[in-house]
Amino acid sequence: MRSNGPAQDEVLGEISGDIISLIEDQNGNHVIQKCFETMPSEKVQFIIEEVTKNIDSLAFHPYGCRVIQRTLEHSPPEITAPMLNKLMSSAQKCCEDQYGNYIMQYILEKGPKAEKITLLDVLKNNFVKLSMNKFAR
Amino acid sequence: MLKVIIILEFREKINYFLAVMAHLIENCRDQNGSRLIQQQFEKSNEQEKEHIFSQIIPHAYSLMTDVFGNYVIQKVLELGPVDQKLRLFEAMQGHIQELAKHTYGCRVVQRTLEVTRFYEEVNLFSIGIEKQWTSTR
Repeated sequence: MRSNGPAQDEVLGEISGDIISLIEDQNGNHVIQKCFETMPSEKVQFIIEEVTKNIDSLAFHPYGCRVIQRTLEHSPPEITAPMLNKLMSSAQKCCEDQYGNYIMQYILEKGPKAEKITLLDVLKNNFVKLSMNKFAR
Repeated sequence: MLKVIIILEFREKINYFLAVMAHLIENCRDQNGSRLIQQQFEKSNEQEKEHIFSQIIPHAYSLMTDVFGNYVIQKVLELGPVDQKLRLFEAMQGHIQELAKHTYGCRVVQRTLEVTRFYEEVNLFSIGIEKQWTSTR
């Protein structure tokens, strides 16, 4: 756009009041995902903070879990660290969840090493229980 | 003989263009019409693009939320000159939130983010160069 930067800023400004309801919307979640794909992580940091605040419900939400994966995919670990910490503290519950398990699979495949180790520990300690769960196995 | 054929073909093309243009907005909202206009826009010169656009812009918002019209808007966002993109964006301003949650509108918002990414990058790039320039002086 002729005015460059402001176009994306304008979009962010208009959606900023209602991030969570957009993430939980069947169409809105795609727009949020697109924000992560097209914008530098400084710009979307406030979305990441909002997601981190609500991680306990979003990790178990069909669209929320997608947005969380997109966040981890596009943002550097120093920005996603608080989110990862929160996710790790409820790792076992996530593994057993029909949506949360995708986030855990993502971390196992592409996540930072420290989180992989933590996650593997959780898996090891609950191996039998998790292997009998529909989503964790 | 060849000349005659060329002239005939040319007249046919003109007639065809006029026919599509005569019912432009109705065509935008029609499955085949929308496809025709997208193709027409693709191969149009600047002047024809402006002609098409000037008819679209008063209906921009309602086309964005139309099952077939949204594709026409996306086409303009992709291939239109900068000022057309900017004016479409102006039509979206103040409605981003509801567009983002709309089945078809959300695609237009996503396309906007995609096409503005380029301008954002150009902007960042030129800021970078400007900084280098001023620091060398």
